[in-house]
Amino acid sequence: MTSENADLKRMAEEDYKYGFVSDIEADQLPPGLSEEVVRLISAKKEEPEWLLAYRLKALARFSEMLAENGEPGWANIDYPAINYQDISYYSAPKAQVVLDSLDEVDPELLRTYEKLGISLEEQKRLTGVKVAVDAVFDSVSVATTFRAELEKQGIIFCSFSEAVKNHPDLIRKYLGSVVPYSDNLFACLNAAVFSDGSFAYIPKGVRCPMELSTYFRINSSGTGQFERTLLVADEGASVSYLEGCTAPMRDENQLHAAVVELVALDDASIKYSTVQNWYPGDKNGVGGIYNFVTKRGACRGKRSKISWTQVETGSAITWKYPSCILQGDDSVGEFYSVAMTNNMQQADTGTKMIHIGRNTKSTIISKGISCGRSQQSYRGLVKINPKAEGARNYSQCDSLLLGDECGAHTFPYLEVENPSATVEHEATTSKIGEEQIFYCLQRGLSEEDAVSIIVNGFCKEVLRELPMEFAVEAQNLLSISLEGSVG
Amino acid sequence: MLDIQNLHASAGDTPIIKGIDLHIGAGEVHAIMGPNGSGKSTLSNVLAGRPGYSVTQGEINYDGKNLLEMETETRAREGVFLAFQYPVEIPGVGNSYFLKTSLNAIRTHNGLDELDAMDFLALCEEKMKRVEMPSDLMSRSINEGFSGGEKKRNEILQMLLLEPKLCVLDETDSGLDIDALRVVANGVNSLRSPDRAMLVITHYQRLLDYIVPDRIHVLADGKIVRSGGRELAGELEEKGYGWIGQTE
Amino acid sequence: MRGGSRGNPAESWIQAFPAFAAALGDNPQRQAQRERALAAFGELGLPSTRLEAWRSTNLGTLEKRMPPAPTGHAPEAGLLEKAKTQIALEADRVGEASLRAVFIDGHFCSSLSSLPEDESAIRVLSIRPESPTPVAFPQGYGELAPAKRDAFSALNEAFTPGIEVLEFGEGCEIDLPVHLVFLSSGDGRLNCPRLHVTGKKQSRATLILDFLSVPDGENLVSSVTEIFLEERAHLDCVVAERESDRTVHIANLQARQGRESGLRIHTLTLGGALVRNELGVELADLGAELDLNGLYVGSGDQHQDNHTRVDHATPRTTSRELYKGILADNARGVFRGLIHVRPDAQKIDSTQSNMNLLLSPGARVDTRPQLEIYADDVKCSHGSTIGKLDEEALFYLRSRGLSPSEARAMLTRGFVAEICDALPLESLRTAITELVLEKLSACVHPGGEGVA
Ligand SMILES: Nc1ncnc2c1ncn2[C@@H]1O[C@H](COP(=O)(O)OP(=O)(O)O)[C@@H](O)[C@H]1O
Ligand SMILES: [Mg+2]
Repeated sequence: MTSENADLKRMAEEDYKYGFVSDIEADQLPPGLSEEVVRLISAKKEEPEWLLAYRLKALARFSEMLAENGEPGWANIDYPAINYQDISYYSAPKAQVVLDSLDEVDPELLRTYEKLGISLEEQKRLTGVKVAVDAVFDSVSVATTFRAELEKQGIIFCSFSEAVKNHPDLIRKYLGSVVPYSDNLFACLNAAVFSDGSFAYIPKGVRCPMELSTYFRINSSGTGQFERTLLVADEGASVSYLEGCTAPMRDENQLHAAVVELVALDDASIKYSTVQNWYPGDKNGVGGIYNFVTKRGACRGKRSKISWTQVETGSAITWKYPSCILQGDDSVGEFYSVAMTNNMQQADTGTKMIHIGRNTKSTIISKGISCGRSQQSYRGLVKINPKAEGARNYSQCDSLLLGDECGAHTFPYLEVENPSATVEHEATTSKIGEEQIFYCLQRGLSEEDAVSIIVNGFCKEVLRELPMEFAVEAQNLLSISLEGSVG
Repeated sequence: MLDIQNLHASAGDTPIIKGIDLHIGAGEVHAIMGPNGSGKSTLSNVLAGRPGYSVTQGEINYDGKNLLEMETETRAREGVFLAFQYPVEIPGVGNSYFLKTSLNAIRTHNGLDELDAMDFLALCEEKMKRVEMPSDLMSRSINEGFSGGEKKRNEILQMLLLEPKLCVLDETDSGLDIDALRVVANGVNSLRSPDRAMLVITHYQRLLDYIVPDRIHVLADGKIVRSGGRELAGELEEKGYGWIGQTE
Repeated sequence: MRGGSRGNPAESWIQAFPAFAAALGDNPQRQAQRERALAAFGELGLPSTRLEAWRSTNLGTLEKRMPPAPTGHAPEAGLLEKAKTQIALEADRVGEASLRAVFIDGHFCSSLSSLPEDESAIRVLSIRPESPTPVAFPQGYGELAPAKRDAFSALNEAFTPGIEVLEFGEGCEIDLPVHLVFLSSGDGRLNCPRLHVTGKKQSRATLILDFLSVPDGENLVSSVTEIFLEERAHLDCVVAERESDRTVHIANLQARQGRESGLRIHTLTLGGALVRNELGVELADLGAELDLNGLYVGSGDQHQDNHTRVDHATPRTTSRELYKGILADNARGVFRGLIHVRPDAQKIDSTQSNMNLLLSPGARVDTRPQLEIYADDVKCSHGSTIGKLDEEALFYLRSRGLSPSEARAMLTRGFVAEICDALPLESLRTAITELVLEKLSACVHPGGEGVA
């Protein structure tokens, strides 16, 4: 082993910074998945009959799929079969009431968020850049800030449960319209047991004046988190949405199976940014979150645009393909991704760009960094349907390898059925440049800093797509995740 | 030779040329100058018949015929030659094979016999000397990996070979060092003749020290805003393009 | 094509086996081997599109035809006579060869072949029914394409009339090409040619695998070729597939490269109704270098599928891969290229590129370049493009007086030039380029509708 590799190893010992457990009383269902559990969740949330029916349909399909095919086998990930009966499907902080202001939030909860670096209080006081935050704790939305201010412009931003109560027509119209409940095993499960999440609706012609943001945290042990996010940008509307995630350190693997649906109508644009930092497990691969997420956006309208940006550093296993269905003529889909895996992490992530409308355009920029003994795959589909006259796609997937025990894999699928389309895909895989590191060392940087700046440079095209506040956080996160992987 | 009347043209859906009148008689050399983005390339593309450009108004008469009714290749065969601002690289297609095909297509159109490989080569060699082009460029793919200067020389070589009646040179001088500029200018000057018209598009006055035009036109925002004799070049050099808008 | 659903072809082949074996009259040792292969085939069955590797190629069409039948009989005189002219033509095209062997429906035809008298450079060690027992299998036989692993290798082993074994002797430099012609005679044949090639140390040779059929012949060809290159051996292997547009060809070619050996494989897929090339190369020792060139040109309803797998099993190995596809009419092209770098295989340099031109609205292409990298000191890249002819280039050519169809033809030829220029031996390059251009002219229609 080279000394560099030894150094990589030595540095891999950095602790997971967000791994504290909050001591909050939770209202939690016993483990198990059944029709009864689904009915209970629905009842707890005082849901209308149609939603319960929807959940039950999804549960039935889930059981069928599990029995027929088991878990999806095509991804390049490896994990013991999940026992869906061992998971608790509902956990809510006790004393859950509909909250109008932060003053009513359990102070312990607020402290938790502060530890995460997301002070809701502070967010309120912030002037200049404003971020409206919906915080989801385990599966329940606990606080939404700035609501009043948003309402003035007709923007709806609230927890999913509230939306079901207050805006049932919108939910009914759009729920499952992008990701059908039967889409895949994990989407089925989510549709059956989702407990909360965020909902946003931006009315016609409105540019949302601030970033909307949701922070997700899994807290209770033995629970899964199954949140559901739905964003609708009506004609000419635009919104930028941020999503952050953390979880405490636990020995067992916890399941996170979220569904995100985006709908953009004519001339609307949605920018969805994620910094995913679920607990990745320890360096021996014990514990960590199974992050099996279905994210999909529909560019329904002409000239609509959906842009996904993700920085994925957490989770023991990531299985995630934020996608765009480019239905509207001249619509645009983008996917910018940084995925960093260390230790025993596994990630199989990428995107799908489905071109249906004429002159639709998509761009994919994916940067993967593998360290330790981790395995990472980019998997992406670009499909040009026969009617997608003049469609264009450009994809660039680069992988950087740090250490000789990790793996980086690239599996693009390009399917073109229209001769006027132009599709270009490029990928490279290489080791971090020794020359570059040496240059930095010679200029007095520590090896750690050298690797960190090189990695940040490698990811720049993606990081610059993030909103300002997030970009800084993402860079720090990358450095932290790298720590222990480089010397 | 070339008679442009009230020409309005769009690139895609964007109107770029907004009413141009221009008359170039046989034997004349005209220059068009103007700031970047003023529509110079658009005009040359319209003359050559590039797809994606549409004439919304006006007429172009070339050698007694309606130019706008002709296909791109018919214009070329009838003697319209555009030296591209950005000559296209075409991997896999040999330069000399291409030139021979092109020359013979034009000869056939004009009722001449096709040149065989030997005659073509001899002709080619002679012209290549004139533009000081290394012979290995002929065996390479069209413009592929050529330097900026080599590409422009290749354009002039084609022009010498094809002996067009109307030569349109779109910023052939840009990016050339002084030697290459001289070579290009010599090539152009050698083609000056009483039955040939030339339209030299340039951003800089420099080229006009070598190719002395009969008339100079200044193009700004899709219109000819000044026309004059060769002294106009000096004026432009001195004052830049900034003053044009004010005088109009 | 003959109509009507004919049920499961796999079943019919299993049933046809006894008659085939009886007609062939092979020795018990080979007979047992065939039976094992047949059993393996029965277990594996024909691959379905549910398998990732067959996702884009549906063999369902096989079921819609009369299942092609294997023949254990050597070609009869009439057939030989008919084939004679066609073979002469092809021989003419390729020109002088150091060895020319002709196989009709997989059976060796000595009357149409010319083998070298001097065996020092090329040795023919083929295993045919009349070979002495116990059979001397060449070293490595079946290791790269074992019957257990894939249905078509199994089918091939069960039904091949003989194992054709070629050995290029140590240190020999064979200047003239070795020309192997595999002719399918036509109606409803299952043909399973099997080839085993060894390049001994420091040998140097050029090999052409010429797959032909009689015009309109309807066949299933399941060919298997195993190539072993020893230390510093060099081989240029040209695979020319130009069977009738009613032929299904599943071509499995597997190679293993020794230290500092050089292998270049040129795969040209021009004919066939459905062609699947399964091409795998293991770079098994230090310093091995591999070049893969591929061209597929499809028109009509042709389906052409290239699956390549480059396995960098040892450090300091290099591979370069370039596949180009032109699809016209309703043709469909599929490319999957996997570059696999094993753990500890450091200092790998590997590039892959796949470029496709779609010429008509009905044409389509699926491409899947893949990198699977388990070592860190590597430089690997792949690129893939799908598009139409470059508008800029078309305009450039037209502005120099070329008609649209001339311009398109010139650009299309330019597109394939890189592949054709890489072909070995001047004479061969000329001959094959001619074939490619012939095929291209069938794709770039003079009217040129849809080809803008
Ligand atoms: N295909 C096109 N579509 C839209 N706008 C174009 C196109 N081509 C050129 N333009 C625009 O037209 C204007 C004039 O361009 P051009 O004729 O190239 O100017 P010049 O050659 O004088 O620099 C520029 O603003 C340019 O951006
Ligand atoms: Mg210009």
